[in-house]
Amino acid sequence: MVRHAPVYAPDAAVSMTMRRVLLALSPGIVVYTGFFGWGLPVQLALATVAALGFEAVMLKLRGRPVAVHIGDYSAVVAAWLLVICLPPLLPWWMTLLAVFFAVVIAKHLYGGLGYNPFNPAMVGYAVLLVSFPREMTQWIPLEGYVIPGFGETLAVIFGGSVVSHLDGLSTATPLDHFKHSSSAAPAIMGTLAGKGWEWISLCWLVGGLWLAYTRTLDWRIPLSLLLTVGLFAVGLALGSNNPAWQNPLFHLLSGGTLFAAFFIATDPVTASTTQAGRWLYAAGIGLLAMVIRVWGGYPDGFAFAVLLMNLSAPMIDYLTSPRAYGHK
Amino acid sequence: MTAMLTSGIVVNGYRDMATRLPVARVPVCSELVLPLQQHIGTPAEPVVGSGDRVVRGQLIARARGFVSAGLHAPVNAVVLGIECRPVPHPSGLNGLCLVLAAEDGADWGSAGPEVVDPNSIAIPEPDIIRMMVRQAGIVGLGGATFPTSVKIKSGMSQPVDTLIINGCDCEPWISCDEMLLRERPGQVLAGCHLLRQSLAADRCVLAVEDDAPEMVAGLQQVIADCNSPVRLEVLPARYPSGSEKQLIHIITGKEVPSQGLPVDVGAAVYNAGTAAAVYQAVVHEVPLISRLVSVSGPGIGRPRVVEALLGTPVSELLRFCGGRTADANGLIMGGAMMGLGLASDEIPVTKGMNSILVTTPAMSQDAQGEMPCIRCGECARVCPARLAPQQLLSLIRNGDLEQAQQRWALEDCIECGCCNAVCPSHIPLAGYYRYAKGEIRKQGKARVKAQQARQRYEFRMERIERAKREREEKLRKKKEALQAANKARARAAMAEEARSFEDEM
Ligand code: SF4
Ligand code: SF4
Repeated sequence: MVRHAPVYAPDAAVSMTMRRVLLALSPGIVVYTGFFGWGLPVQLALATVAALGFEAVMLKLRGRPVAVHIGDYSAVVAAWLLVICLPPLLPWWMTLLAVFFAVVIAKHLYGGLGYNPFNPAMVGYAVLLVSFPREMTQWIPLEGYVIPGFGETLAVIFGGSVVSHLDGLSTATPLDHFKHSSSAAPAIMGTLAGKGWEWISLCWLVGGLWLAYTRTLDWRIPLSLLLTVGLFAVGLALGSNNPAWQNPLFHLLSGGTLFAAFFIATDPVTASTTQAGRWLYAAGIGLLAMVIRVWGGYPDGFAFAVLLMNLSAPMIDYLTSPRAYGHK
Repeated sequence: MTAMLTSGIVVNGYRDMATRLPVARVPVCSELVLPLQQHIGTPAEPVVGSGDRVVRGQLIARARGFVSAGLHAPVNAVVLGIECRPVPHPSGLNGLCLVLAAEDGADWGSAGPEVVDPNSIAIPEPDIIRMMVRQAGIVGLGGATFPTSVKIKSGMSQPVDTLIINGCDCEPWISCDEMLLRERPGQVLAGCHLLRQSLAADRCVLAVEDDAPEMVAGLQQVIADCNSPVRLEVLPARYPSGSEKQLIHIITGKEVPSQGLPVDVGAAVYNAGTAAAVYQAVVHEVPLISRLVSVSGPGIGRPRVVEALLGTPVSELLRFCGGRTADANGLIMGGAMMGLGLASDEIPVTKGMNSILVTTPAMSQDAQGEMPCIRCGECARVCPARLAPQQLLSLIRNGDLEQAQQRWALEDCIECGCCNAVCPSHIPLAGYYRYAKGEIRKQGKARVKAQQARQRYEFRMERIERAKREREEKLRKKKEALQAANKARARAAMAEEARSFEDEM
């Protein structure tokens, strides 16, 4: 057979993109673990195994070469993104359920990598949030409690046991806490967005900036999203007398804003593909998330904001496709 | 601000491969094969027959129709015949060729020498230049192979303010324009002056890329020395700056309208090699019988740019350049991005053959293989035609060519392959677009054919109908006439009767 051009060794690859995302998540995961204990690493391991298992089964069922496609790491990325959004001591079967929804329903039943209209991680998250609102808001507070050890963590996640000193206390997410607190949020690291969270947020920022620098993600998305949230927060600070909203930085550093901006909204498959579209798409997510955060019933709105904007992405693409060369 | 391409990609042009040795002439081969169609337009028509003796530069096939180009004997030779031979064409089919046997001792002869002062050449009237270019069988030597005289003619009928001479070797691995501009800058400049005169263009820009510093320095020197009005524009090397529409945009800031021509925005682009050929034809009356071919790639022993007589087999070029290496695995005519794969090296050098690339497996290693599109948008970011390659891909895969064409401007894809190059899923996007454009053309042709058939059918039916109508009309008239006659006769008879009756009365 005659080989035509192009002939060159390609230098970008899907698996490379995905590996970079995993690498960029690592510092945040390490710091997270440092603050909150073994919960997250255990959940990550569980979700990784589950995601690869589901992925292999689905590829097989869909008649795709398993070996080729499983190596793209996309299922692992989805699982990690999902788990990072979940409370670290969630029962194992809930994590499994979320991974199932993410990989099997949101990804493969919609046609597999590249065809899914909805962000798989956010679908898994939203399903849990709607089905198990109580468990989904049980976060470990840092102050005044002992972080569970490794054995204890396993017992809680897999054995369903309730650790005595954690019993019934960890119900407020940092955001809930501030949304309903009457005290002004002091602008010092460590107390601004709930202890520990700002440091983790900063790690997401560092990882995300590295991804932007390596062109693994399009910088327009995080920039547009953060600008929108920032402007909204400034408006809120000026226009509202709720003391919790007085510091605009709070909105940027808490509730996964940075995580969503760099890691969730940037999922290329479900985002807009045009440059102008990406500005709009990410601004839409920022706006919706703030509306839900401030006026909605859920503590944080990024999952729903992302899903809603996923829905609009094809339309945004259509409306923002650039004028082709030589066309009026 | 320097003018430059803002889309596209930065690629390794491998400019240092074929530029280390000077241009050398490939010795005359005993058999030369000249396809009758080596240009866009109607094939040339042979004017010699088998057994005829021809001399170097003699017309052996003449242009047929307006958009066509003639062929000339590259050396003194005897015509062996007109035969079907393998030709470099995407279809891979054979084509009609004039086959010549070079006479013993036939040599290259002398081409016009390198000019020292391009300002010193005598410049004829525009029409004379055009006629001489036509007689010399010159076509676009950058690979487009559109007959140059036709292009000049269209530039004469509409005002051209910017004449652009394209000295950018369009694709990675191709170095023939660079070597031409390094060794024969005077010829190119002289050609620029001739073309500018023929088009009455206000200004002439010679565009080159900055990844060949030696060439740039040399050109600057020559232009300064002879005080040439040609402006040298050194573009940052970026693929595909050398593509016609992109180059026009870079230099003039104007976009050629979709489906339009460069003259529509007052621009004309000629390849640097074409300019040199124009000089040879007008000043020395040497027709186009040879060209520069860059023979490069990791699979060739001694990469270099050669000057070869048209009709020389590619196998000779390869031999001349040290032969293929052990791991050579393919031949490509053109560059690494858009070139055409060749099934064999028993194919002649043609007017459009600017490069032979000898590939090795290492060049195109792809451990990953094709994956689904992850809609990353990289392809759209680099597309010089500002298309949405990922949208086109899904439309073409779904068979919706209509939509791809109407809404997403498929026809404006220049098939540059930038999208392929950046796609993390390694999808051969440009291949899809080439295929889809071919399909649309086929459908269009089929539609035209169907329309013609329908028209013919309708015409025939109409004719039959008309004949029938006419026949009926005639019949009716006859009948009427008959009836009228009968009536008249009856009346006459009646009158007769009446009269006789009266008479009897
Ligand atoms: S570069 Fe490839 S994967 Fe990315 S959007 Fe284009 S076609 Fe899809
Ligand atoms: S879509 Fe066509 S013009 Fe655009 S980058 Fe791909 S091949 Fe080039």
